[in-house]
Amino acid sequence: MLFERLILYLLSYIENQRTTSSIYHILKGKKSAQTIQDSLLFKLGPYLGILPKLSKEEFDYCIDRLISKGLLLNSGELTYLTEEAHKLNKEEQWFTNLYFNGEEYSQIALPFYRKLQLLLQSTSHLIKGHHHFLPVSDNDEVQRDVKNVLKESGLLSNNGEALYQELHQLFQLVDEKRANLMMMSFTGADQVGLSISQIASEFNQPDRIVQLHIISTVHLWIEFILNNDQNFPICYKFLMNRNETSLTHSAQVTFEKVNQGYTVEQIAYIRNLKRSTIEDHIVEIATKDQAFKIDEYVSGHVFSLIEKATNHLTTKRLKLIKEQLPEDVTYFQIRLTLARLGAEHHKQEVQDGQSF
Amino acid sequence: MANHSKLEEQLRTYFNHSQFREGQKEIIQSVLDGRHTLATLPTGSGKSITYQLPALIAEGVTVVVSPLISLMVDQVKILKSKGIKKVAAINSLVDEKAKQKLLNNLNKYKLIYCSPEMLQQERVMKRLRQVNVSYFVVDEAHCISQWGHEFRTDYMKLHTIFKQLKEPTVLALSATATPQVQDDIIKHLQIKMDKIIHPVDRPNITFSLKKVEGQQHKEDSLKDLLHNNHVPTMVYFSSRQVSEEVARKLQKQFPKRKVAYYHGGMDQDDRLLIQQQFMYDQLDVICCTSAFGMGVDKANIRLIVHYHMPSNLESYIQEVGRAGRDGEHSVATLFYQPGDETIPFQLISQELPDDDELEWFISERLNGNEVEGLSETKERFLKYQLELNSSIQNHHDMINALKRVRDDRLQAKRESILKMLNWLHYSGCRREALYHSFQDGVKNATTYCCDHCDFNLDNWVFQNQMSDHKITFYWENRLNAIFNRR
Repeated sequence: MLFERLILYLLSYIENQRTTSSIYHILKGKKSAQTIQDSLLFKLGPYLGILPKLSKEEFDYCIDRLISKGLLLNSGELTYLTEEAHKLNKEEQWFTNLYFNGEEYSQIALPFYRKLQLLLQSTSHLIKGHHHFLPVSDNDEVQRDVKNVLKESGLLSNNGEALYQELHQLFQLVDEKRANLMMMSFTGADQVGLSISQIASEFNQPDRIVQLHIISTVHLWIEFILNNDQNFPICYKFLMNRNETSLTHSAQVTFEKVNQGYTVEQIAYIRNLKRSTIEDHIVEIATKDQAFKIDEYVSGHVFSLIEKATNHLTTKRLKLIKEQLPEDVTYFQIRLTLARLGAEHHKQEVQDGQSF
Repeated sequence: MANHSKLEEQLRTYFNHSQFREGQKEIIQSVLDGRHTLATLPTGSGKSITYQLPALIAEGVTVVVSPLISLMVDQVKILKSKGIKKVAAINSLVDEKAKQKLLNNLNKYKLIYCSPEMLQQERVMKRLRQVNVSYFVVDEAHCISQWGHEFRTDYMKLHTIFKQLKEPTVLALSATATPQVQDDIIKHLQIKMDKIIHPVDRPNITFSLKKVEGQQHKEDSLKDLLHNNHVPTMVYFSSRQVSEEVARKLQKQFPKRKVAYYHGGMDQDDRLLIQQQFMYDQLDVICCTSAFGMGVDKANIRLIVHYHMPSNLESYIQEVGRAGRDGEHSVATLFYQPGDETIPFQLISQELPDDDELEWFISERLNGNEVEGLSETKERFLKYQLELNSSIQNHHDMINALKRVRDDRLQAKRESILKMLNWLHYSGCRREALYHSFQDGVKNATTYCCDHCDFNLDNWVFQNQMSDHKITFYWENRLNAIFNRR
């Protein structure tokens, strides 16, 4: 029931506007313009991509349970919560104090966490003089970055004192129970780390809840390290050189090709990807990069048509918008326009301090 | 003898072993002398060193064909952890950029593990043709044979790869290959080979079959067995779900021990953790599917239980072969409940396409459509057979031809299950019968032989070899331990 309560809470954001699966896509961090836009429009950015491996079956099961408990109406299309659900959502819950910043950190949280785990394992073995051990991560990027950090002198001096101090600070950011939980996932020369489901059974909690506590802690750590980078010279190394725009890797490649002057068709051909995938990338770029010019894809005329239709309808549902427009206006153009409008609304909203 | 001591010196340099294990040196010498070699060595006897050492000694690159990605990844990881860095794997998991980088720098490597599918890619082959390939190693060579227990269609194309690589010395390796499979391997590679066949029997393992009457009886028997024996234990299952369920029940029954499950459906990172916990005796019992064990070199596994029967004797021999690598006495037992054989029969029929799938696939492909949604093994089978039979023009004939091949494969697999069943129901010495089709005669057991000869599982008690492992709970104590502080 614990995980369902989080879903119920998130559903209230999109009530009346989207189907339940939009929340699924947000949690999973689906790399589609629609999902990225939804996360902006409904202010669900903190939850974007926090559960990249969530299965549709598990999500649907939660939805079914919410319906059978009378918290959600089985309306077929859009999402409607019952009175009781709204009441429940106002209560304090297990996730009320969990910090998430999926929009900013979902892409980097797991790699950062894996690098930190491997760095700790390596340090632990090396200060004990073990030079051969099996690394807890197989991932090439993780291994390379950890090796690079290890190579920089001084880390191992004084039994890894500097790293010890950084970690000590990080663990003190969370309450003791969460610190204990987090620590169990780390491997050292003394003990192999526990998997999430093993930690869950130690704490007698569902796997999902433990996982969300870990993710939240990692987001919090990243935030803290970025804000206090001079206090975390080692950990900060894993967070440097992030793409400013935090584009997905594949969208980044598309972005480079666009800048070289290739058309959507050409990029699709070169990269052996579907046209729709490239379009998704471009919408993602437009959503995240305000300097990106969409004129090539949406003429000024079409842009204002779409804008008008959107204002007229006060809805963000693509299908309804499309129905209002001449047939040759594509979904791609609507999404691109919404990306621009959404971001502008978003900007304005931040300035005015008002919500939609 | 000078040459010999030099080999041992090299063994020490690269692997830090002072001497060869039985069988290794003969194979290595044969390969170094440039003879195409077909060799069998039992699981756990250091098969991989027989090509790794020649690869490191020789000029050029050694190409190792390996059927399983997990197997390659493990091998590369183990070599790297030993400080041997010039190794890499090329398979479908390697991303495009890394693959290109690897291919560009191919000549900087000593050992390249490659899936057979990758060797079908022209740009991989193009690069391989440009470098000096010192040895061509076919690992798990029984995959080449239709009679083998893990037939892989792409293995049958390896002779053309061998020719393209300018015919380097070939080493074909297997842990378990019957004489029929051995002949098949040589036939498909189309070369003359020296055979070095080592017996696969393991005298320090005691064999036993436990007949049970139902699900509950099986569970209770396992609990009794573990109650009597607190030693490093593996329990094999055919089903991921049952492995999880039983692991939970055992954990409840034995709260002071650590029980975990492991199967191919888990996250890679979790799998690594569980493997290492088991390696370092942080786990007492691991409930696993056959996905576990590749590359796991744990010396002190004392007890191996099969909760479900495997679908052939080769798999069984490989799986029990993980017991007692330290040479100490170990016990392998198989729990059999009448009717258990339906599981492997079902599994083999799921591996191959049924009539509907076969007909659908053929007509879609003949219409030029890509087909999605079939399992990997089914798709691989169909694609390969279509290619092989591409001379058949008539749609109907094609369907019939493929059905015939499929039925032959099914029949071969059914026969393997029947052999396994025969062994279960055999009333003579279980050790002799197990190895009968692989070698002539067996060595005497070093302690107890089997439930037919001298062993009773119900009374068996190993001395407790595990200490209660307490995990450190409080984060600050853990942090101190990690940094070796008091």
